[in-house]
Amino acid sequence: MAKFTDDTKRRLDALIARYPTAKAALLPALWVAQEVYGGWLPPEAMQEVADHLGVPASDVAGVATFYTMYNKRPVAHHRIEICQNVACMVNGADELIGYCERKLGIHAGEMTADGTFSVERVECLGACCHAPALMVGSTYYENATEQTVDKLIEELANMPSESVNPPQSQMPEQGEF
Amino acid sequence: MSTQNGPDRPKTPAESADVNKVVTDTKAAQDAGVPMVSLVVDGKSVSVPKGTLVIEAAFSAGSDIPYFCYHPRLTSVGACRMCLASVELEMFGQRRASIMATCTVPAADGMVIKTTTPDVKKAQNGVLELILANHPLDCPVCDRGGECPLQNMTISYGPPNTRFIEDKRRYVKALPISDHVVLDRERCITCMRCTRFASEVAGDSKLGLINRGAQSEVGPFLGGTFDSNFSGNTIEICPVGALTSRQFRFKGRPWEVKSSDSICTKCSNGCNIAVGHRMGEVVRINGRVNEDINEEWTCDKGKFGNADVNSPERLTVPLIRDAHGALVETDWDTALSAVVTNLQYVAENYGSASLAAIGTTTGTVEDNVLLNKLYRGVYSATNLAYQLNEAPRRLPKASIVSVEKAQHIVSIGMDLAYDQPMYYLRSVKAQRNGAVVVSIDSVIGLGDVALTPESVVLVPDTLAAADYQVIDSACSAAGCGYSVLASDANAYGPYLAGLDGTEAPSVSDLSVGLDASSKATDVLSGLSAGSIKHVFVMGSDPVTHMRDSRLANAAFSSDAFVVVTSQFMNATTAKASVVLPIASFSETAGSYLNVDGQLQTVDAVVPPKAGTRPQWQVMLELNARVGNPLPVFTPSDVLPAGLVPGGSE
Ligand code: SF4
Ligand code: SF4
Ligand code: FES
Ligand code: FES
Repeated sequence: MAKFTDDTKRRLDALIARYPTAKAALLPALWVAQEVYGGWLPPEAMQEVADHLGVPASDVAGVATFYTMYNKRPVAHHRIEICQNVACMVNGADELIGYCERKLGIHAGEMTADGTFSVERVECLGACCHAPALMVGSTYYENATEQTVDKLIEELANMPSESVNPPQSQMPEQGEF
Repeated sequence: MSTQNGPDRPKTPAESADVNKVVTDTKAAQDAGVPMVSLVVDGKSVSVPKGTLVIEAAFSAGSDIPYFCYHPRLTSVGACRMCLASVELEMFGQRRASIMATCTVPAADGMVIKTTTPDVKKAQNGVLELILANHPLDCPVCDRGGECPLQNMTISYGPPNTRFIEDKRRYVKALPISDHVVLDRERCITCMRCTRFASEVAGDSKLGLINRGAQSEVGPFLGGTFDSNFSGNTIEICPVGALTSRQFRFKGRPWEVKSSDSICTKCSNGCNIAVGHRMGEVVRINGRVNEDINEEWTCDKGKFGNADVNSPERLTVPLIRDAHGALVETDWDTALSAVVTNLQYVAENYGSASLAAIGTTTGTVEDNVLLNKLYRGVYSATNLAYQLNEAPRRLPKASIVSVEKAQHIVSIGMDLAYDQPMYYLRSVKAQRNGAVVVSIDSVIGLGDVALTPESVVLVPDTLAAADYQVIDSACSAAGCGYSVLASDANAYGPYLAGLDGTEAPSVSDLSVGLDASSKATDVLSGLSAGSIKHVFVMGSDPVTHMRDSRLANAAFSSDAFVVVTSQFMNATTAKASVVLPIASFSETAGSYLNVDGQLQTVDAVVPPKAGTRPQWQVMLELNARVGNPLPVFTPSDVLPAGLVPGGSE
């Protein structure tokens, strides 16, 4: 079932206008689709992007599946993404991940039965100087400890999810190329 | 090490075809005046047109560079890294050599390429070791084993062993992705030949690559199927056994399969094919190079549809109508005697005007020549027809090759990809170069299309006479003309065989165009009126294919004696007095004139299926039985003088 509204299509057209070809707008267009489809990209979302951009669906799928930040499965309201790269690892990332898993009763990569939380191992968040680092939505938690995790889980349990996409301020403006 | 390894190794037919293509293209570009660049490959100086890739320059110099993802008919992606060689060039005022993927580097003046240094050897070993790290090496049960580029490159360029002890990636083994193709993702080396074929050649982008790194997999769009009329080509260009044919799977090892040149007769395009046969049975169809027709591709109708030669439904025994009106099996002698007896009886008692024949537009020119010799030659019959449709009889203005240069292509009332597959593939090429391709369902949509004198209008031969008038006036007004594309493999073969009664018929008559009279209608009217008492229907099915099906039904429900030759039962054989089971295209020699007027002659590939006979032999025997023995030993003995087959390359 198509979910793109006229507003979605206007947003996509505005993106397409920024690039020399419609295909070049694929990455930001997928962000929009991911938002419209509740945080992930089912095949129908990719098909809608393909149809609107006039790009073959197989190409859209290739791009969407290439990047891990496009979700190919439904996601939790609050995704606790914990960095597992070197700096964080030597500063206790594995222990932190284990703590989250025990606390929420799930394995990394899974989400809680009510869909509120998931724990995910991610690569470097670029916050190595304050390792271990984790991220929920677009909020960073640095020098994270078990207490940090306790607190954020308590605070977030009843909060609506924020956008899983990068904040609009990070999206390139017209003329920035 | 044996001398078969390394640069001196023997090439597979596909590799030789690639190298030939490179050499011909290079020459063509040179003749077209493209500026040349000079470089040295393995100590040999070569000049190649600007834009030639280093790997191609190496082929032109007679060097060998192993490759998987490179293909002369696809764009370069540099996906496999197999083509590494040492490339020395001037950079920042300094000459330096480095190992580069030669399928992505255009040749430049002053380059020095080395393909056999120890560094190159080490790089080649490394690439193959990495490619094989995740490869299942299930060659014993792999259809590609024995003709597999990965096996061949490994034996010629690979390391003798591997350092990997890790588990290999596992997937469901044989995943059907369409009616014709099975995918084995474990074997895939992600060269992207199949995906590039789908987007660049077939133009339908039905295959893509998803995920990344070791998880990359090829497949149709998530959850879909690979439904393309050209899917079979990916089986041939896949450098491993990742894409295999559901039809050919486990039918035999490649080295047991003999390959013989032939042409496909499933449609009018006349693609050049290599028929693979094993112990007298056709097991697969591969494409063969003919730059004027199919380049090296086939459509799925041709590649998989020709398996009908093995169908248990094939007629293998002549049939004759018995006293109770039932079609019963008989032997050849009885069947042929019955034909001759009736032919002579009708000729003597009612005269030649009561005899008629419908020539074959799917069989060979020679079949028709011998039919003509019998009915026109011996009995002076003139009711000889062959054209069952209402289309103007004229070779198309636009040849297959010409379409790739077109700017505006309009196809009317057909599915170009299915009905005229090679016209379609050229239209994809044109489209990639910026052409506008429009497809309309019927002449009704023609008013909305802005035709210009440069428009190429492609029309099937199955429309009603009135439709051609509409098209004709629209196209004459625009000054562009239009091309009627025949459906059958040899639509004008009967004309060349003299069935129209023309003295010395030639292909150039067909370019000018013949008159539009449909003799078939006359024959059928004669049959239903009772004035025609004997008709020989050669290899066609007018009851199904005449537009005027009422007339056709009436004609064949009359009392006339109807002889039909056919491979299968159909609506016309069901009404026949005698049915003669004939050999298939792969079992008979002869010539065919394809859709754009290219005459091609082929030999039989396998012996006729037991019980069947080639049509030309049947006609030869009938001629002999009525007292007209002909000194004919092969079909080419009766090919009219002046018809010179362009043949296949
Ligand atoms: S399936 Fe074959 S052709 Fe396609 S990417 Fe894999 S190895 Fe290459
Ligand atoms: S395009 Fe026609 S001639 Fe070519 S393979 Fe297909 S059916 Fe055969
Ligand atoms: S390693 Fe964890 S933020 Fe860089
Ligand atoms: S052949 Fe050059 S990278 Fe594959």
